[in-house]
Amino acid sequence: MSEFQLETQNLARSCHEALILATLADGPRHGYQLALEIEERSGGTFRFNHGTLYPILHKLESGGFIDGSWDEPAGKRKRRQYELTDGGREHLARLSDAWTVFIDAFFSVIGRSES
Amino acid sequence: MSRFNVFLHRTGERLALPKATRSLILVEIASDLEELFNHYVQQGLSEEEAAARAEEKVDMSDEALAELVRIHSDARSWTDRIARRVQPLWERLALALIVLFFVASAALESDARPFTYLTGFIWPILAIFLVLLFFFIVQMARFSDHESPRRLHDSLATPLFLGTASLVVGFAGTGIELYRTFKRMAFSPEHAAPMFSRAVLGCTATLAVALLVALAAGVAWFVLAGRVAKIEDQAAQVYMGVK
Repeated sequence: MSEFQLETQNLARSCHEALILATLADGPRHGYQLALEIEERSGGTFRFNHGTLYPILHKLESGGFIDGSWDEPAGKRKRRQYELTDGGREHLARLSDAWTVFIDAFFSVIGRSES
Repeated sequence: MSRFNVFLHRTGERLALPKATRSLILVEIASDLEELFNHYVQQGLSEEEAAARAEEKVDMSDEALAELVRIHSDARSWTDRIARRVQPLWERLALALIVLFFVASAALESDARPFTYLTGFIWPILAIFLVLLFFFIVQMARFSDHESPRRLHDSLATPLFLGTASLVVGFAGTGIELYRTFKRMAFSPEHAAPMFSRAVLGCTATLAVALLVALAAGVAWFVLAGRVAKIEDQAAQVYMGVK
């Protein structure tokens, strides 16, 4: 069993963190790109509101899991871009393991649907 | 004028953070709003619909804003807290008076031969001062080039590092100089008194210069931090359509 366990009171936050880190594992993204990509990749299951996104991004950044920088393309408005750090990669691996354990435990209790 | 001016003002008013931190967050939100707006327009929505959809997507609940405030209140370093707290004119004047007092005291005590009593450790301290001076001039030039506030913000640690280095050299130099003097005194006790008084004079004079350089570094940092905060704030004002 994984040493890192999800806090059931903070499942939504852990879920959002894992989604953001996993998306950033594919390369740097801007905030709006993260929200749109997560929504698209999950087939609309995870609809990310930026109101939820900013506190999570800033918390991950202050924790050293992601690194934010200003992207300033010539002649364009500057944008905040985030990329995964090595610490973030490790955190993502821990979250992934913890979610696997959590989901297995969940279905072992409720059972999987036959349909 | 940004089409999201009202929305950004409303969000800014709900963010109980120092101006510069709040500005950076608003700049981030403003750029995401514009990108989302363009995305929705490309999807075929009218400009009004796209703007409303972007605002709806970015709108933050009171809980989310409180969380953001908490994160940034925790993350701010003590140096940031000082730089952003010391804003009123009377506090700036008080700081200037303290600096003037130290500089005037040093000037009154120095004579025509300032290097007479100083120890050899004055040279690295002077080198630190020259680096500080060069750095300060270069940074001020970068401010006028409107360089990225983040890059300017990252460079703020340098004056603090140089100030600390000056203090370390000053105190370490004092220790080493006193050790050397005590060693010499042990071999020729008959000259101990003049040796000791000269060493103490040299050490205190060198330490005083080290302290002045550290003070200058502190002032340089304070001026630069104030300018960075101002630039960050101006950037946010531009995005919000105020300027």
